[in-house]
Amino acid sequence: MDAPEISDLLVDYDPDTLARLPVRRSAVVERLRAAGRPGAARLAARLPARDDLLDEAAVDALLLRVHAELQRLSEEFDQGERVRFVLAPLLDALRAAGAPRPLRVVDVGCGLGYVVRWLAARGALGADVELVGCDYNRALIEAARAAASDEGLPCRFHVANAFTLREPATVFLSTGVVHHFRGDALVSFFREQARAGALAFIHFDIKPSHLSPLGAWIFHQARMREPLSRHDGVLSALRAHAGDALLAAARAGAEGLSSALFDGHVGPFPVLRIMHAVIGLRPDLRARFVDQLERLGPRGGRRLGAFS
Amino acid sequence: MIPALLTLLALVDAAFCGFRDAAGRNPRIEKRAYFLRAVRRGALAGLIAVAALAALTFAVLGLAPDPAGLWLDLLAAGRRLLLVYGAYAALVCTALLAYALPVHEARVLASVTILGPFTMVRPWVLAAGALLAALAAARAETAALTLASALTIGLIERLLGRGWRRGRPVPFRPS
Repeated sequence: MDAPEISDLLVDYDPDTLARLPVRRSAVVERLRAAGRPGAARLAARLPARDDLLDEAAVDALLLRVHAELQRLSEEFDQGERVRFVLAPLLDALRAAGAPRPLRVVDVGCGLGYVVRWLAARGALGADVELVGCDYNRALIEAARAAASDEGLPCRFHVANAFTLREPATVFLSTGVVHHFRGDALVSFFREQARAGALAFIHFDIKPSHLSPLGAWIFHQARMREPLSRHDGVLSALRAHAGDALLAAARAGAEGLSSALFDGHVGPFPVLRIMHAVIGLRPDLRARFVDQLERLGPRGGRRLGAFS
Repeated sequence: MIPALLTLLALVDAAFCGFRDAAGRNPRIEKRAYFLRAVRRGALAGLIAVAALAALTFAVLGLAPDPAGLWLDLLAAGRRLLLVYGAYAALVCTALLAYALPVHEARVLASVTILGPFTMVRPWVLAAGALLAALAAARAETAALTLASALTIGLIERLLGRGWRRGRPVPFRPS
């Protein structure tokens, strides 16, 4: 399933300057029609535009609403705790290996920065950890900053390419982002992290199973108000990469890092494991990370697959 | 007993409507106070709805040639409503107990198998209970009051959301 999500088409950025580029509504509508998504094309055709150019303020307001709804889903599915469960032992392994401080954790495509803010509020990751969120969308980043400032949370947000930050990441993470990268772009996504000098990465995304599209449909009907959220949410489940594909891309792209799947096994109860993660780290950290994870009990160790 | 139980169910349902109406609109991490306000707002809307329905019921009873007979018919309809709504509420409340468990998977399981799907089918459960009770009612007034009650309770969530739909943006306001 390679049909595009509507939200992917509504914004465009200059890859070098990250300046916002105008988007033609007719081009979005045509692209969705060509992809066999007539309902999505009708939604796009109703978006406000002037001289066929999408109204950026209206698009940003829509994306803010959509991301606030997404945060609600993240809250319901404990995404913060899900990430912390793997990140905390990984940071312990990095400390034990003498990794340079601070340990900078950078959320790629953070949106409203829910996971970063949750970790800052509840993660208890340690004073030597810096939490940073990056996204290309200025409106989302400003909202993330406002929300963090409102609650006095120790984390930062940048309108930036996460892979070219002046202060490089120790660990890259993301939730629900990797399925947006298709084909060669997925391999490049992992290659850029290795090039940026990261010691590790953790990328959570929807785990495809025979139940995931139905589950996504039920949840987006029940929980989401925006038609765009409902459309893109179900499409996300259909576009989610299989574990093998994620691992293959990570191994092809992130040279010098070992990769493994976390929660890769579907098992008899797929409803319990709705997300999986591809984890990569420097080979010398592998044993320490597995050891830290196993200290959490069978819930930790058994959920991790074999490293490359 | 039956009117009291139905009132309780309506108030709890309205409180949940308040919660759902507020969910997905506030990006803060700590939202306890925000959700408490939302739940109170929903419950208040439920209280107003129940009071209006009670007034309507008493008015109809007052005008009926045989108030005692109508009252018994209303109680029978209420019993049928309780059967459907009570079973639905019991399942939802059982799923909510999973949130008290410190096991992350239990919460996910409760959400995926009960809370999500049950939120989606709530309007249909509301309609099914009302139809069951209305079709089995001996009197037209009972059927009409039953349908009016279900419609009123069903409209609470929609009415609560009106303010948001008037164009208020995502509220990045402190809780």
